[in-house]
Amino acid sequence: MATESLGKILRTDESVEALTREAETLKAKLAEEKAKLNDVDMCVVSQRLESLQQFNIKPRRVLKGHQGKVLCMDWSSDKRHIVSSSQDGKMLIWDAFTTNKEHAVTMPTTWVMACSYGPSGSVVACGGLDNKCTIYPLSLEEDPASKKKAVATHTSYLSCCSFTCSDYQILTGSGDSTCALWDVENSQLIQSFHGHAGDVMSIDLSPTETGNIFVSGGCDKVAMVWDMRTGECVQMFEGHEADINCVRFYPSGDAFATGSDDATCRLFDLRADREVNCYKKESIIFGCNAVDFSVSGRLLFGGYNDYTVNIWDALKGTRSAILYGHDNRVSCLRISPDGTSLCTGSWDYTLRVWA
Amino acid sequence: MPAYRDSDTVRKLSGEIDQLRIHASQPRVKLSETIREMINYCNANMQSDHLINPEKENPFKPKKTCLIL
Repeated sequence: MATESLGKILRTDESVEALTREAETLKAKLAEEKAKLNDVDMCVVSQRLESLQQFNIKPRRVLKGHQGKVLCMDWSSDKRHIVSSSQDGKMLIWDAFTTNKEHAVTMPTTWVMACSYGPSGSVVACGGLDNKCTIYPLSLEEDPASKKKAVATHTSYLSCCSFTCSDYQILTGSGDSTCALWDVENSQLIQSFHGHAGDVMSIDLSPTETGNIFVSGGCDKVAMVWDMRTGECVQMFEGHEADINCVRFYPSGDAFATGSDDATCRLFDLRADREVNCYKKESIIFGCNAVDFSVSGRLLFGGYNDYTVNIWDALKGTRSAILYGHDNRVSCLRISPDGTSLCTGSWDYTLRVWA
Repeated sequence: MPAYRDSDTVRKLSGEIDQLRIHASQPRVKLSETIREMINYCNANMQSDHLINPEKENPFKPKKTCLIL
């Protein structure tokens, strides 16, 4: 009996060593393959491009009503309505043209960290410290809370959520370090995504119709690309030196940007399988919470802890402009679906629309 | 419990190796090519990027007063 278990230990010892060796060989081979494709520098290639003209982006609306830090926002597909969620435990639906609040929903807990509009514009989802993602159908006659439905449950806080191309499926990310895809109709888990070694902070679905992939980023400083159908992590991107707070696809779907506590934004290319640009400046020392692209992908907007929004030339890697206005951290931002305006949310309790 | 811990390590390593194999099997394209396509995408869409080329009618911007009236 004793010799038998000793034998087992020896065998596992041996296999641990062999497996470690194999993993290292594979890693080296992968790095070598990637290095072969690194034949140009994006900033050098982009030098010949014309510089961008001066912008005329100004603050156009201030949405006041939250009594706590604004943590998340999303545009409706009608390019007019906005959903926002806050530390005060409220989710608000705004008419951004008039700045009127159309609905207010009180959540069971404070810190509502995630909210999202359904593609139809007639449903919203939100959640946070309640560990749940709850769906609220919107109608003018009824209080949205009367028809609410908890669709997803995680074992830690909900950090982000996003409907897929329909109102019937929703993807969630959580502090329990997993992402999950849920069926809205019967509140069932369709697929879960395990692999992150820390809280998932942000997810984004591929904008391409045949994509079937999404990207996630989190406190393990790693961004992962997932196959929605199989649940497999198909690509992994390292490089950030601190938490990744936000991930966002480049409009073509071939790359994605990240915003991190290390005060940089980065661009990762899916097909070249590597980091291709890093947006940083010595004077920028505060973390970036949110990123989004203009519709052409030329501009990358970043919302920072120093209360500013930096506009980067995504190709040249240089800063094109700074937007001032918020009195506290910029926690979230999104370009409107038609690409004509930008909405930012802040710890100063307000949202602002820029155009 | 070294045996227990080791079998845990084996499982973890095997998982990592499977993951690495998946990553290694992904097709890859040269950076020069992907960057060229990215620049082409930008150029093709810049005209309709209203944060770069503002459109005349933006509901968030104040309306220009009509001079004819």
